[in-house]
Amino acid sequence: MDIHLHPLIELCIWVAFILGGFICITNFSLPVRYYLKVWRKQPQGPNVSPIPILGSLTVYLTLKALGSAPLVTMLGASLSVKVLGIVLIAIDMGGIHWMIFAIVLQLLREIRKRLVR
Amino acid sequence: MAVHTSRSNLMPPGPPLLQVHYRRSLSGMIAGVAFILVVGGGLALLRAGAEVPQPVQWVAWSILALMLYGILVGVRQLMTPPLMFIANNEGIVTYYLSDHNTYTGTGALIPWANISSIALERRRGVTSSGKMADVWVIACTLNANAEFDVEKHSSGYLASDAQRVICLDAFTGTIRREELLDRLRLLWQDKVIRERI
Repeated sequence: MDIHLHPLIELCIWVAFILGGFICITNFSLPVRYYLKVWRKQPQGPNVSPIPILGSLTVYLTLKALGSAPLVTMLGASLSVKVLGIVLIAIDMGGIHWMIFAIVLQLLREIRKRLVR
Repeated sequence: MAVHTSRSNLMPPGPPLLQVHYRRSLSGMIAGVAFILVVGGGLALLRAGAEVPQPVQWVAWSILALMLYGILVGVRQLMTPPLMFIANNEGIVTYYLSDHNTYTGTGALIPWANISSIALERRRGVTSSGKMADVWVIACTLNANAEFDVEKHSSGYLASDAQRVICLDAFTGTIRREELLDRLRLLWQDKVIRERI
């Protein structure tokens, strides 16, 4: 389904893209800051994302919509927007991909523990 | 700390000397962010259409529906911010419930006579429930153990508080934390001195 939208609606999608990206960066910075504080032996803050899934999901949806947006194609920025979006999704540690990674890691650790016993 | 609030606070008898409400700015921010994400995400989902796999669409529409509810809650709290706590002739009544991070119900009374000190504290550390606390609180130290479950009504509760220290969230929408401390101290001193006379 391809709907031609008003420029204002295009703007709304851009704002959502930026906000989603901000959530992704926040989710990335939390564990980084946490482990930096552990390394420096300072009191730690939270290391778990307060807003999981939402950041990468919003970036993914807006990325799909912005791929064919007139402004993006006009400026020839389609590739850079896509790369930026993929990077944001990749670093979102509250995203579904990191959750799956964490579950698999925990499973492997558990299996290893049982094998060692 | 994400705090959900409810408007079902019940006022105790007697005129309140001080009423402290939940901050509107936070409710507004939550509603605003949710609104942008719902509008932007919804339009993006409509525009992207078939490019997005069906299961992702279901998940996205479900999340958007939940966020729509979040907007309604945020707007409701913006219009009528719930009471966090009040001070009256008998003491301080806190409406905080730590189980669900809400301000609701009949509240818990901390009698003036049972308070030995009131101080402003910045709490950092892991609470007994395993949550990370990094908040400014008004810590009320008691002369004797409280008659209610302190952990249930204390903001940023630490295991060392036991039943003797109850904390009120100092980040309110009514007054600044230093002013709040001064007002509560004045009321407490006034009440304790009057009782002694």
